[in-house]
Amino acid sequence: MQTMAKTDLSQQTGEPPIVRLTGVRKNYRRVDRTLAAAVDGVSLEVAPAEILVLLGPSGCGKTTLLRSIAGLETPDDGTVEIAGQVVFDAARRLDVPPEGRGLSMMFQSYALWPHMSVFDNIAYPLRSRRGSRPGKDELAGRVVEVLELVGIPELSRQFPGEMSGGQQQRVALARALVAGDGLILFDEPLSNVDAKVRERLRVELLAMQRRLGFAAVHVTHDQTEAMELATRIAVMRAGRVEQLGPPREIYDRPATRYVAGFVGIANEVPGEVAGVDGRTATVRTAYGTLTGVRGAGLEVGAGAVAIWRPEHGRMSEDEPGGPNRWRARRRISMFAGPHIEHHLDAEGLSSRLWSGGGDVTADEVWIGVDPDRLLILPA
Amino acid sequence: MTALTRVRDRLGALTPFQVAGTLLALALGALAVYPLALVVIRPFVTDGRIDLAPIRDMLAQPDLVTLLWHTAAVVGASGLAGLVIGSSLAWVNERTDARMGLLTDVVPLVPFLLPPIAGAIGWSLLGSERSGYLNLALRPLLGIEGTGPVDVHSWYGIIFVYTIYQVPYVFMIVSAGLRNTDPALEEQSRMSGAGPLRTLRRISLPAVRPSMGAAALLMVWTGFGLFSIPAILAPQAGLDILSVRVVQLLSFTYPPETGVAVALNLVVMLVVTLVWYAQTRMLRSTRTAGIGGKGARPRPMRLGRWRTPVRAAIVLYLALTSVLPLGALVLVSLTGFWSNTVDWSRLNLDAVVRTLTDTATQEALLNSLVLGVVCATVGVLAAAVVSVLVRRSGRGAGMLVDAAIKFPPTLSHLVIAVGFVLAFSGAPFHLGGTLWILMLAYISLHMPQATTASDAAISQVAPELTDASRISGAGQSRTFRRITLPLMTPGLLAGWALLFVTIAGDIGASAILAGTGNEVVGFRILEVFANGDYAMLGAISIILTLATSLVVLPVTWYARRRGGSPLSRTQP
Ligand SMILES: Nc1ncnc2c1ncn2[C@@H]1O[C@H](COP(=O)(O)OP(=O)(O)O)[C@@H](O)[C@H]1O
Ligand SMILES: [Mg+2]
Repeated sequence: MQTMAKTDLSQQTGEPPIVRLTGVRKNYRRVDRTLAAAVDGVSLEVAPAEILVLLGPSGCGKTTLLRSIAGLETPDDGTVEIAGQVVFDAARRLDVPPEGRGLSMMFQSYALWPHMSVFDNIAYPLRSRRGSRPGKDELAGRVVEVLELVGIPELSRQFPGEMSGGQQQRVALARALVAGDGLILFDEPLSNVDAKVRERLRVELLAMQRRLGFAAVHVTHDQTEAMELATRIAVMRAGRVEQLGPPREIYDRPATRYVAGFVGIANEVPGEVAGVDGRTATVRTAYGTLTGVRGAGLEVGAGAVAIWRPEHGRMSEDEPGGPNRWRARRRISMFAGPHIEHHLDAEGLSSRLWSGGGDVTADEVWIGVDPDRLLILPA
Repeated sequence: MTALTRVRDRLGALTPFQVAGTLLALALGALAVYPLALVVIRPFVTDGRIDLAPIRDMLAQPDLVTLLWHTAAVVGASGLAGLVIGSSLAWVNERTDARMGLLTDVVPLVPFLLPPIAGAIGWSLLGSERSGYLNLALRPLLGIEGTGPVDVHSWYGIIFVYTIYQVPYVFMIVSAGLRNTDPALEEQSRMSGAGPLRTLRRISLPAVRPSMGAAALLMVWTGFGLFSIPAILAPQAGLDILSVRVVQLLSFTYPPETGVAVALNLVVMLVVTLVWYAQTRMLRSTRTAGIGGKGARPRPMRLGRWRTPVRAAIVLYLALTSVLPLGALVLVSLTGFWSNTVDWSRLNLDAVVRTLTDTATQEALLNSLVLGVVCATVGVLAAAVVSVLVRRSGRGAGMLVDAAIKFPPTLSHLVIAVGFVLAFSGAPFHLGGTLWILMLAYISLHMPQATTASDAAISQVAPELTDASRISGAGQSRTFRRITLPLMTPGLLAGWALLFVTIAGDIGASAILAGTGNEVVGFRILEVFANGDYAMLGAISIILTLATSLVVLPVTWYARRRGGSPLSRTQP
């Protein structure tokens, strides 16, 4: 997991954002002729050399938003700026076509051209760009260079139909890299290969981004991938950005139950807000009164949930100290390698807890969660 | 941003490619609609007022019900038979171990190579009650005297010959559909415990339903338009067929009853519209998830003990539909005339030599082949551009242009040919009696087939492939040239072959637009037929078939080899 969280854009100085979206909206007409917003008023910025990950379940509008940046989709509302240039403005009916936006994209299906060799596929962006068309030798040099970069120098004469999925993926990546654009869009590029290859490619992709310094907007529905790659994550829900921040912030301080549940595992204890005080809040639950970090939008007397991560709970046979503790029944324990996963039952609520060793043998146990590690959010 | 770029941006989507493509589409639309308007509207307007007399006259035709009933029965029955035979051949060839390489690949298309008039004459030579070659051969075997046993001048005879000409459409379209259906779907069904028949019924058939719908539409189109087959076979069978009646009204009635002919054609147009509507509805309701695009030919299904009978049936069908009529034509041209007995010792090449040295025939052959190549190329390329634009613009304007290009030719080619005479032969174009008027008419008349082929071809190109090109910095024109067009090539080549064959052997439009100054094969055949010179007729048909085969077979073979899913280049 990435430990260094980049600071917020507002604290960075100098360079303009490489992408700036304001109020982007895209409607689709459903079969029953009602309008549905695939993207519902999204505003965000991407800094140079940043990887912004759009994370959300399938159908939440990630692809539509990405294609709106690319110019492959015409939004109904809003503006798109790339590297300081307005490339789309619904109000002024301005819409620069994709080939005029100076960015690259890697598609989920790779979209390699089956009638061209790997070399020709990769050389295509160089041959197609207006203005700076390189000479024959320079072109060949650049193609060979990226082929080596993605680790398939020997495949240049092959055709896409003759290669494995992993190799096709590398060709697609090479084609996205070859023009050396400052912005590359990725639409779930890693979703079609098996887990091992995916992990390796993730590392390589990150190393390549560090080395070449491009900015990326990366779409995925895989939270692990999002955490590992992202400088910042935008968690999307039904066409809107629910929370935008560095991975650690998204994980440790999710703004809503939806984000907490989508990123990582969240144990929820429902209750009612008993009091709020500065940074902390208390909530009355079936486990008694719990104290934790106060989320936004809490009102005394209103419904709330206390949320904790499996790795933040402590399990003991004797009653622990501290404010948040309750008795639970251990139903099952499973060895998962790095940790042991315990499935617990307490007051009719089930929860999961990870511990390092098999120190507890009893079935009736105590659970304790540090108030720093318990998050109180509106229900 | 300068004012100029702002203006350009305001025009928004109109790139040079779109401007050129739209103009092309409009020109094609105009080429289809203008002559049609002349010939269709004129009878309905007298002294600047709408006059429905032609409709009244049509309804007053004493035998209208018989005429419609006979036509509908022949087109309907042959269409159904064509659908069953064509899809079965396609399925056997694509999915089972009864396929026989090039034989089952290409030969079902052979009837295409034999112009319908040659086919009809061939069948007349074979199946005439009294002196048909087939009857001459069968009578001694069966111990029959006098006439029979078969009679091609009959209900079943006409439906049979129509069917032969319908099967290739179904075969081509359904084969393409099957090739693009992910075989994994079928394998999954077999794994789930379903037998071959159940798999066919529940998985394969639904997957190719859109293809079968398209084939049905094409068959209704061509079925009503077929003229030479009923012209030769129907009268003696006592059948009234609409296309024959239209020609009578246009050419053998004085003054020509254009109004009634047009009104009759409006009935056909109505039927075609209904079928088209049903087909679009079906397309919309079908979830075609089948296009997996893996391009792998599935392991053929084992037919077991059925394999040999199935193969035998295929060979028999191929022999019946291709070898027999061709053989009859060869025989008649070698004997020099058609008679009740064949003197095998006196076969000679006189008729062939006479045909090859006949200057009118030479000129007609050359003109037809050149027109075929030129019109097929122009038509298919134009259709490709239009298909791409229509796909991009979706519904609305795109559909309208599409309909303008596709619909007019559903009327009888003869009626439209009259429209072309009205539109282009006089001032200001003065194209009457030239190859140009033939070229315009051929292109316009065959746009439905061309756009049907190119629509199918474009639907095989995944949208991401063109998106990726745009992202790479290529504009629309470059994307079309470098990505879309090459990927559409297999489908377009198949369409090209179809256009080439039908144009080179065209009879309908040629009957009205060609003459001694712009002789083409179809017209020449009619002239020779009028003289009753069967030997020369056989020779011309065979030479034409050989010439077109030499062009079409390599193209078709290449297209089918390259074919399948353009998403994959390799075919095991
Ligand atoms: N061409 C389209 N027509 C109608 N609805 C669409 C179209 N494309 C996407 N949608 C709808 O928009 C929503 C967002 O789709 P998409 O952006 O592909 O989601 P994601 O990439 O997050 O899975 C979905 O509900 C989808 O059904
Ligand atoms: Mg998506």
